[in-house]
Amino acid sequence: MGRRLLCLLVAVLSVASPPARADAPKRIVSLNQCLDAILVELVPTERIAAISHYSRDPVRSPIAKLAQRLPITYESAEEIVALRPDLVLASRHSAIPTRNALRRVGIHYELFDVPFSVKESLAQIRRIAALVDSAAAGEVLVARIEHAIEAARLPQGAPRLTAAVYETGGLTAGANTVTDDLMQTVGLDNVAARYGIKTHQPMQLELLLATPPDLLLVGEILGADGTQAARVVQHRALRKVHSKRWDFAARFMYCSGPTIVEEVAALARARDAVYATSRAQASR
Amino acid sequence: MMTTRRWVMPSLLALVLGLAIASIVVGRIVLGWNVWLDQDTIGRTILLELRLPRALLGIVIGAALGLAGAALQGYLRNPLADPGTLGVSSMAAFGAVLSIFFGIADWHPWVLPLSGVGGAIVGMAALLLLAGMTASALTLVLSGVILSAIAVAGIALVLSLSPSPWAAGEIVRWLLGALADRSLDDLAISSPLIAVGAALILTSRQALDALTLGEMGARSLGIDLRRAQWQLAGGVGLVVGASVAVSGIIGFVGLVVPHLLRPLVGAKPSTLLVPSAAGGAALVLAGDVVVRILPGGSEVQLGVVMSLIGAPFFFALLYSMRRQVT
Amino acid sequence: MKIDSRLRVAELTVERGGRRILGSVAVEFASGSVTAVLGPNGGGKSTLLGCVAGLLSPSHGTVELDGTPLPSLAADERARRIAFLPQIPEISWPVDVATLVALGRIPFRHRASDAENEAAVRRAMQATRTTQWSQRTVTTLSGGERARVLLARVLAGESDWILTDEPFAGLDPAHQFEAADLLQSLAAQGHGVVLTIHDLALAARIADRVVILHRGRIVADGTPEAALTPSTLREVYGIDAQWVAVRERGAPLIAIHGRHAS
Repeated sequence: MGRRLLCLLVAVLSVASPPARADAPKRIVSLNQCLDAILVELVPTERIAAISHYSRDPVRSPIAKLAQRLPITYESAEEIVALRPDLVLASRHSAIPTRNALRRVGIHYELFDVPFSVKESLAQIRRIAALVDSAAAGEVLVARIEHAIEAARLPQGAPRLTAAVYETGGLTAGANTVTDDLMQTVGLDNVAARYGIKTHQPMQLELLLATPPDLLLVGEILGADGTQAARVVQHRALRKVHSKRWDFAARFMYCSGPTIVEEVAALARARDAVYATSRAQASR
Repeated sequence: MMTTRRWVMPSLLALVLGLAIASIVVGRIVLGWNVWLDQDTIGRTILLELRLPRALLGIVIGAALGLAGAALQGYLRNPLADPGTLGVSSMAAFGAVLSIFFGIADWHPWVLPLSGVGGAIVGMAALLLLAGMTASALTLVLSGVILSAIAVAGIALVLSLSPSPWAAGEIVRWLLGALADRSLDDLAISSPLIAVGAALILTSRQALDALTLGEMGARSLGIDLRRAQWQLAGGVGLVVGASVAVSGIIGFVGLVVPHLLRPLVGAKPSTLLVPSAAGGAALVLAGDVVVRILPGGSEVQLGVVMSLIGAPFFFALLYSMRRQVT
Repeated sequence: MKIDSRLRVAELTVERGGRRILGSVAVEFASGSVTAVLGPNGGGKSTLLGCVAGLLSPSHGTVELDGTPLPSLAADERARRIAFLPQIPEISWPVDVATLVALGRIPFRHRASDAENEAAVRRAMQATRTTQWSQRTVTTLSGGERARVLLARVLAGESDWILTDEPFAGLDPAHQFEAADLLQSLAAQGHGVVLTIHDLALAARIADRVVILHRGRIVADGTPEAALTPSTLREVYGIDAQWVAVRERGAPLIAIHGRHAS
């Protein structure tokens, strides 16, 4: 029922949204794949002058197919200048010389930090929406994300589980990350956060051995043809960690925004799998 | 034999000019001839604000590194010396990296390069402290090794404390060395320092020549070795520090160029200085052109290309030296 | 050409690392003669020569060139008047011979014209008979040939004083005599030549004056016959030696019989 209402809302808002104002940016360049994913949800493709070439990566980008049809840059000042953009979206970690060059030439850019919580991610969406003068579309996207989060929320009375993300090199999502935020909502207590790991840092394997979580979210690799999904982490000691394992694509940690929809659903499925396993074990 | 020598400098200068033109012409955006007319303001912007500073920086930084390499090899009487030996380039990199880490590099385009220069100055002061009272080349080199070790450890610490993999990636990409998207600001900051450093190096030409006879021989010719050491260390430090502050770490130029030119120009240290500057300019410009014509979308970092050229060269050099000894 | 120059050493003491290398040495060298400084290893010969050349600082005492203490002279001026050839021949770069010899003109870079410098280099190479190697790379020469080239470098400076530390080490007898003749002719032209040497016989043959340093002190100073007496040699070197007259050739030689049985 909630979903049908949402679809109606989306339909109404997209029909009812006023056309872009005359001074709304019409040649938008985005230099970051995470910002790209948000941008394509907010404006029609005619207003996008270019996105980042990373968005065409079929393995890591959620909008790879769409990106094939859009112009791209390799984030060099020359290319950006040649596009004559009226708005440039960039990450705070983009190359400083490139930003200096844009500033010299009088091209305006907006910087975006890595969001450290769901709230920050949604605020970022709204900020971009305001910049590109698509506030209504922004609200639609925010609503879709919030709906997905609600759908994944831990049901009343269900037990909380412990969990940890463990990618190649031991990279994990600690406190102050969107992933941690979502895990909290889904009912997974982040082991990494308990050990004081903040943001994205490597986690010592011995912490997992000391506190084996109920659920271990381990990275997947997709082979070139997308069929091979192997456990990336092959450490011998990890065999001793008898947690339920579930695939958790590393790219969920790279971007938030629209990716949250997929990510939170994956977390919920992982949680439900643990419940199913423990029910199966209990009934034996 | 003497006639070959006479042609070297003009040939090098012609090469530099040709490569500078190539550097201006090559790029992802094709500039038509009407870039000089009023119609193509975008093309003019790209030309004047992006291509031209990049080519000029290639010349200035390449010359700086070539000159510093020849000077240091002359002073240390060792063909394996490289401008990074004194540790000042690592300290300059550390200073620049700190400004990125603390987020102040965003405030103004001058902050990052000036932080790099600050690092270089701290490095030179530390050298003075560690090796100041002696005129010993060995102490100078060991002090440089210590400084490098400290700076590299500092950079590693900064990387491990980075708040996110993307922040660390930004620092790593800067460290790998590039001339891409550098502006006239970068040229304005680095050129005066490089000019002063080059002047210091050039005034110690006689000392370098006299050192052909060893330290005692040089002193018997009336050379003040302590003053020569500080002229050279100061000159090399300024030249290298200003370069790294703007471009990141571009290695091997100072090592490779004097070697290539020694057979052509003669082994006398003072005659190698200016040709090495020209050769360095040519090499860096050539590398910067290569990074833009290699296939694949993003530019490869210039420091990477230099390592790809320099490492096999270095290996071949060591191999031939080994054969000479045995 | 008469150069009247004196190098005077007074109360020269050199202490390094607690050890006394030279103890209150006093000696005066005159131009127009060859003085050989002899002594056992570690006796202080090279240190004395280094101090006299102005390259080592003594702990006490002075070295004066014609009345002026060496530290008061500008380094350039000192280099123009005193040439020094170190014991260990270092040639760091494979330069050609003409370039190497021309290094001897560095102290004159602000004082002499290019033409004067080139002329001095030419004369030096002629005197050492190295002109034919002018364009050859120094590292392709043999040890003896290299020694001649390094001597040419010293001569190119045309300085009053030529101080050389072990100039004959590693040379075969023919080259040794060649170098010795050259040094003697320089003294005859009025230069002051001071050298350190191990070979007693060669010292006796070429030196006008012999100074023997033993444990940092001068134990003998005079003509070869007067200074190199059998008793002195026994005391300083621990060897049995005597002078032998070789009638056909003229000058007497020293024959060393062996270690002194004590």
